[in-house]
Amino acid sequence: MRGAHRLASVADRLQASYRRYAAGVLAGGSLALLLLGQFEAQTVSRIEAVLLDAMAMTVATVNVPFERAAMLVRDFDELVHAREENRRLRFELDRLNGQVSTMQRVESENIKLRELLALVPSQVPAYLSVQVVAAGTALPRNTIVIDGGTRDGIGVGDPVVSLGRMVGYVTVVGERAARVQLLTSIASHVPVFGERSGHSAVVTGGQNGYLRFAYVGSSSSPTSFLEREALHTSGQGGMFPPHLLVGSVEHTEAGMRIRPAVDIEGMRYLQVIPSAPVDAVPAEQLL
Amino acid sequence: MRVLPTGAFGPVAMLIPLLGQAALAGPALSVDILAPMPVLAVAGFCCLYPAHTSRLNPLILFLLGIACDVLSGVQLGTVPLTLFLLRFAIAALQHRFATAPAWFYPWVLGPILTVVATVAVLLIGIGPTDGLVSGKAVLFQVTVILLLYPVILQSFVLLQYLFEAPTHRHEAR
Repeated sequence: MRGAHRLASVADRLQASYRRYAAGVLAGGSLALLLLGQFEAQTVSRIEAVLLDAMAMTVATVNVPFERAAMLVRDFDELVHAREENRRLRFELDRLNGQVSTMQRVESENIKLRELLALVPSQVPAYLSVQVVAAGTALPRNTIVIDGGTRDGIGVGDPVVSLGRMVGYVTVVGERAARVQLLTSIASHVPVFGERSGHSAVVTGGQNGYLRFAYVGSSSSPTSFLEREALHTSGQGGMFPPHLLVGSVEHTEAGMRIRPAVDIEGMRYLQVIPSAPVDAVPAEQLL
Repeated sequence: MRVLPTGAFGPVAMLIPLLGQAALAGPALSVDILAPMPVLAVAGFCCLYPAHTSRLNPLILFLLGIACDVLSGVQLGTVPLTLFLLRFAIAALQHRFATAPAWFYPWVLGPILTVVATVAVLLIGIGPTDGLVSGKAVLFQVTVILLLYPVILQSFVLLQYLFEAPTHRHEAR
């Protein structure tokens, strides 16, 4: 009886101490985390990767009912417009049937030309499809969270694309989830080259969702790039594979800016090009 | 009949803005305003129910903040630290404005603290940006948060009417 009473007294004392000190201790812990992030980025990145795994699973679970509700609304909408859609599809089918013979002729011509040139087919990178778990576009340090991690063969630095157009690259990777730094982020840096001018540069995130030149090759200046010129990854430094579309150059009164090739708003599925060999889908099957 | 125990009202109320945001944003949870969202929840809640301020479990605040840090990509520790500073500030201001009318806390102090804390989250969490964060973008974010503030406040009131006994409602105010 006395033992139980003592136990209750100790529990009360512990509870009182928790009430008194918990807020202060946890506030100190938060500050310590913030400071640790400045000096021990690697350690914090590892902690973040573990938390990211747990959070991605929780968010995916929370999203299930909302996803179902959105699907129901979409299904109903499709049902309402089914007749109109049918008519449009029949028209499209007729048009495509007309194009088939032309395509067959072009394909056979292509095969003959490849044989004549003895062309060696280029290595097409393999892709992994991932779902966007959490996305943000308002902050200048924009990142998204995807539901693929080390168990899928994804590593830090792997480029993330949408049908061959670059979206960003992986910065933090957990076992089941990863954080992707978008091109529009001020922290991103991607080496590119101009499709028509051939000049090379490094682009980074700018204002209002556009990109800007962070560095331009010594033999050129930002104005050397042509209006509406497409910018592709150059593959310099070996960070990203070459020929991924990054954006197009726009001349404005305020100067040069780059319109990103992908608008991430509302995107649900993306592809990662893993650096490690995995059982991934060849790009040709996706396109 | 009281469905929720006294200590549970705060944590459950904290989830309202996050679930509301998940519902509005659709399948992919948008993190645009995720980081300042708990700030809005804590400021609104503590100013509406000053008696509950000390009852908000610090561990819940810490976990909520860390979750928002991880999902929104701001530096780890930013949101929980802001939440604790906000909680301490509200507790201190309660003594400072002890004689203020009832509407002063939820409708004057709450919005002011929400704006200050939201800007703090943006500045601490993102760090120096060499002028790339335009004033317009910050103003937009603050406006969105302020527009959501009365909605969140009313949802707290509604939640309390649904789950707590009339005697307890009186006590909380």
